[in-house]
Amino acid sequence: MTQKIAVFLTTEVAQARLMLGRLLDRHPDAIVVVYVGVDARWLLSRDLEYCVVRPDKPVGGKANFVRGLRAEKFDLLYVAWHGGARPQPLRLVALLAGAARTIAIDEFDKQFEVGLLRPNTWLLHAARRATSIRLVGIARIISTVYRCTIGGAVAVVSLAAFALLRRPGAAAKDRKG
Amino acid sequence: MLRRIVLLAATLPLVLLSVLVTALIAWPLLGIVWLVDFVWWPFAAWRKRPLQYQARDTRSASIITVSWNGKHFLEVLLPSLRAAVQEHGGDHEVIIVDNGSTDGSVDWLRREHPWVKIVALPKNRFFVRGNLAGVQAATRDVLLFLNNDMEVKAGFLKPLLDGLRDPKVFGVAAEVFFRNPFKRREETGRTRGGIERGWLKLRHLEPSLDERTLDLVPTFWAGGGSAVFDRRVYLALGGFDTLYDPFYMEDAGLSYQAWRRGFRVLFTARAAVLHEHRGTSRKVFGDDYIDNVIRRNQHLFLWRNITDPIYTAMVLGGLPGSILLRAHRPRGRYLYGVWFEVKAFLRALPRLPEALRKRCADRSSYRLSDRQVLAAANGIAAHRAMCGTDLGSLPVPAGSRGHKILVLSARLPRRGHDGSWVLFERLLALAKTHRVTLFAFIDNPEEAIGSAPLSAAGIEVVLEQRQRNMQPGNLHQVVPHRLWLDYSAPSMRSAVRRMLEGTDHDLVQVEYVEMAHIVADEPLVAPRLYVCHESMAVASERDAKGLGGRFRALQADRYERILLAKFAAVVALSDADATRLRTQAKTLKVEVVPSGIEVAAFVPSPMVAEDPATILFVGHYKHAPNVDAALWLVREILPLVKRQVPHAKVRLIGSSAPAVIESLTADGVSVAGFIPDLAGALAMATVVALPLRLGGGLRGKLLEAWAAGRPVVATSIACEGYVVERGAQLLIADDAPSFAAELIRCLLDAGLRQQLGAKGQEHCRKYFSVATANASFDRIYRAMLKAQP
Repeated sequence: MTQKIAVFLTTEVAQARLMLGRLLDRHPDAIVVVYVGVDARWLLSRDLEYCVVRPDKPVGGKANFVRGLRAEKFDLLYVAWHGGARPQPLRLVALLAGAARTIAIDEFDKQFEVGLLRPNTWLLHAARRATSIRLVGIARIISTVYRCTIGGAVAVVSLAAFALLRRPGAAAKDRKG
Repeated sequence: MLRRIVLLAATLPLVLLSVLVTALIAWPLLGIVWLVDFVWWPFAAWRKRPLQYQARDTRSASIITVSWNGKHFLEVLLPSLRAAVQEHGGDHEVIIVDNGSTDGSVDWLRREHPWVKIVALPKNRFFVRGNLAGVQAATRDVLLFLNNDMEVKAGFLKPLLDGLRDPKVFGVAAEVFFRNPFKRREETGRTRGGIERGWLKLRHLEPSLDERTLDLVPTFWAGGGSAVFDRRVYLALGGFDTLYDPFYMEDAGLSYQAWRRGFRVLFTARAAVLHEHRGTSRKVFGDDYIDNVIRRNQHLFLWRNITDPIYTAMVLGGLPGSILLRAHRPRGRYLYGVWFEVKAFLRALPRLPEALRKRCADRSSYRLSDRQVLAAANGIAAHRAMCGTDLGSLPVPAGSRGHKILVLSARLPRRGHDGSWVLFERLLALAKTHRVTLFAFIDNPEEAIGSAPLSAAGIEVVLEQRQRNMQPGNLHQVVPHRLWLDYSAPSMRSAVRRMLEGTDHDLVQVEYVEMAHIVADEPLVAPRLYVCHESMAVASERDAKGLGGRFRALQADRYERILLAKFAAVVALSDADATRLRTQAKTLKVEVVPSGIEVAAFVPSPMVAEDPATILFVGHYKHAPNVDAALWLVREILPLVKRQVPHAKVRLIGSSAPAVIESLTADGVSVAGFIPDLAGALAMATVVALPLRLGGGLRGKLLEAWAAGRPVVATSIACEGYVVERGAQLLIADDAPSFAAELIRCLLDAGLRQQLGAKGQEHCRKYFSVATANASFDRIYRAMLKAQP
């Protein structure tokens, strides 16, 4: 049976090209679905000729995107844990995508199988990468967690108060005036 | 890997210890400074004795250069200086202070340049004390300090001395170029200073076009190596402060003291010097020592000069945090960075008593507050408003009838790409009577070519690439997430700040809500007009689906109210938006100025023939309402049309089509992307559809269709803001069956199409000309400027 393989590419074009070429050589008969950013897509247009190309930006919400990935039931998922200049949430989404096997490729070109419920497979990589995170990166993570939890709750309460205090008839009165 | 983990484990406690030590010293220090200020304040208020402004003789200057083993530099400087002195013709004196050189400088000077006055010091007293020795020997009213590694350019003296004619001006700095033209211009002479993130940020700026065109512009400090100063005021201020001994920051300290006492420090691009940057000190002391002295002197500068209690709290209270921010070094040398910062702080502490004594002694002479100084010294418009110094004038096309307008736009206005053509046309007309400077964001460098027609019309265009905001913040979601993420990057904010400070403008016109969001935090100097292309509250309410949508709609409404409070007047493009804006800000003046269009630009070539049964939709697909409209047209309306007109087809035109739009390509649907000849594409369409269900503002695509004389079928939302007679200029339908029915009617009836097209074009000519729109803007400008105190 034909294998169905998903690939989450890095934004580093040279590395992406190398990774893709090797993968196509190894699985010549597989259906390869590549999730890649718009910027890199035209740079990689030749390499992507025999692949199904999909945008790496979630359309219709992040949860829907993950649900869609799980519904695809990929046999194999390759994810680049290379680094790159920009944050790539797909690196983490790979652990949630529900593929039968998920293989991560690090910046030393080392391949290793990972699974969300087997922290021993990715913890070492995470610990090593954590040492290179800049202070602003840590601050951003803390700020995002706060914004989505306590900050979000504060925002809901303050917006509810705003909605109550906003006079509904004000618009009509002003128009008459 | 193990090495890195061990390093991290060792670094963290050391960093925390450093922060703790800094906090234990800085926080009590803040208490001491506040206490000293509080106790001294009544004395300072009682003993107010500001310096008086006095005229000075600007025909000649004492030119002072300090040199230590710099014979090779003087060999370059002195011939150029002699030429400049002879060219100017004044009775100048040149004083070389030799700091105990061992390279035979003094003998060489006596032999080769007997016209120079030499002050030979027995040993190296470094820059500050060396200069003070030179000043003691000076006899003229004006002091000109030149570094020994400079070379002056022709015409150097006159603009500097002319700048000092106004008794309120203390110093004038020349423009500095590096001798190596490929070196990054770390030093230009035009300087900026501010308190940012709890720390003093000083930098040199590349002079803008206005700064080059004007005779003089304000500058935060005049460099001690290429500027003229009034000798009397210099001496009254105590000259270069020995607090900063041996070097660096003494010129910034002197200039800041002058600013606080109500004097002006200016920059002129008409005088220029070439500089061998840090030619002497870096070679002798090494980069690390110099950088640490600079950091130490920044502490001293803040303790001695900044008396605003909030700034003091930010600097000293926030010191443990700010050293962590500043400690970042390339290649992960973070621990070294922390040590560097702590070392500079500890080095400054022994001089604290002297700094506090001078802080108290000078307070009785201050005329301007810290905040006033930062505004007046950094921005041209703020300086004009606060100080009234004669800085010269800029040419305006219509002379006294025209104004200097700074237009800040969230995107580069271009023809044919998106709705920004409305602004493009307006700017072209505006530039005929006003001096217009346009600042806009672009998504990629290729877009910059689109600014060529605007530059050709005489508009100065400054572009900045949009960056994603990677900073933490917006913790309580006050700012809508899209604005926070896409329009809040520090680089974008500082580019806008630079425009506001570096241009000489009477009025700031802010286009689009994204730019209003960036500008909102900047201090208000000139009146600001906000042109609201689409009410954020209206647009988000229309798109509010579910709880998340409702949340976003309320958030948009609340934030738009906050933004509106920052503007003197608002222009809305449609009545619906204006009504909403008036309810959000009741005291705000909101006017409606519909967009204008040049009909002549849309008259098609007679060679272009109509493509039968073609329904055209034009939209820029980064705008979500256009995506929704295209999907609705193809998925729901077209199948209904095809039942009666089987050969009907839809053509989707517009840039940035996402995958979901591209995937619509099928039998009877074509996705054409960006088309340069929009007039031709419109002429080929049988009917133009505007099935918009979301968004707000005035739809420029309706004007384009009318101008091209094409029949239009639209929703009520699409023609919002236009006064139209249903069935006369266009057909209106709001649900899929009736929209399809109107399209079918149009496709099958050539007479109806002709009638709609002709009436639409006539309507367009009558009510939506660019001239009419610009006359309205002119009226608004006049009213705003008249209302200025």
